[in-house]
Amino acid sequence: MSLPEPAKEVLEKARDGDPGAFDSLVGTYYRLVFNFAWRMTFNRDDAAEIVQEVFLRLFRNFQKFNPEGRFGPWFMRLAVNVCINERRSRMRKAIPSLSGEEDACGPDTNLPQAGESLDRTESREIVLRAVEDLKPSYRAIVMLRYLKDLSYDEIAAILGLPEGTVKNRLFRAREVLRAKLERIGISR
Amino acid sequence: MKRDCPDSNAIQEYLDSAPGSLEAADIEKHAAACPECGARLESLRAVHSVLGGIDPGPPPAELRAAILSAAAAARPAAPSWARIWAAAALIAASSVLFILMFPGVSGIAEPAGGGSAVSRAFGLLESAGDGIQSGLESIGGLFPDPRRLDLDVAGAVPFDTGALAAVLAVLLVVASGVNVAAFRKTRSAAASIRRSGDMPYEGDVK
Repeated sequence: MSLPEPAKEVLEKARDGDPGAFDSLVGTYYRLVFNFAWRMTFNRDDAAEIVQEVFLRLFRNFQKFNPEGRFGPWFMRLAVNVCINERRSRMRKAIPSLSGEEDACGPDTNLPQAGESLDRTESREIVLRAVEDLKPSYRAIVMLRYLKDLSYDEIAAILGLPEGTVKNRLFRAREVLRAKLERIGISR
Repeated sequence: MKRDCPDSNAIQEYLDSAPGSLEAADIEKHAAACPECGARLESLRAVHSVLGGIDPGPPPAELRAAILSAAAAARPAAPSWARIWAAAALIAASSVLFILMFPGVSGIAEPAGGGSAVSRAFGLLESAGDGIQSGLESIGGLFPDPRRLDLDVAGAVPFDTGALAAVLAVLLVVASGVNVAAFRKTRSAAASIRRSGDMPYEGDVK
């Protein structure tokens, strides 16, 4: 799968400040950005705030987009960096929970639950908890991989990293998740 | 892990790739025979399944409207006619005031026989007219072919100093009022934009 790419005319008009063209861009991307922001926060309210921030930054920085390049990866990089900065900011503020209770950064209760065995549910909780502990830049790579089943080279284009670096970080992050899952022994 | 076991990266590539390839068949065959690799593959499959299965559902219904509203609030206001005229009036009034206060540095020749402060002021109005014209030309093509604002100082001066000062005072008050109102509007729009911290958005993700 790859990212959607708007028509050149829409991009040119949006760059020139045409509200209708900007609305069209919002329509193309806001669900995708919301989905990614939620994967970075596991919180719908926070994700909605991030989406607004991302589009506000697009609005303010549209002139920095090079029309010769692809808009999708450029815009998603903007979204990724807003999410990473937001995530880092929240991690600095977060106080580690010793009681094991749900804290503000934990997964919200909107995760799909129906039709799953207890083991599978527990596995999911362990994995998602482990995702919370990943570095934001690693979490971003993992979540991009599962966002729209993006390929390694598409993720590399978004992040401006070599494809090998993307694979390396993705594998390391998933290895961390696997190790945590195995340590608790749920999956065995 | 034995020497012929595939490493974790190979297993992960297998999970990410399309099934049915020769390498995939090798890994599946090996994992079936090797308990350690089988367990590793199962764990990675569980991770893969969890991450591929999560979904936030549709975004909030009002989100798209909120995005457009925030962008509209951030849109810079187009210069209004009131502001253009206020700026022109401010420039003219300031220029006249300057020449009245500092007649020696204006560079405007005094009429024969001396000349009053008022005649000097009108002399400056002529140069201010040129300044306003060039200012309007720079406003972005609003006046592609502007008429020159010729202010003739020759002849009788119809105002006395008091009347001129009163006109100047009115111009200054109007211009200041318009600009203060515009400033308040801009400040109000800026305050409505939440989370306006200036975070970098370009560069490598480290």
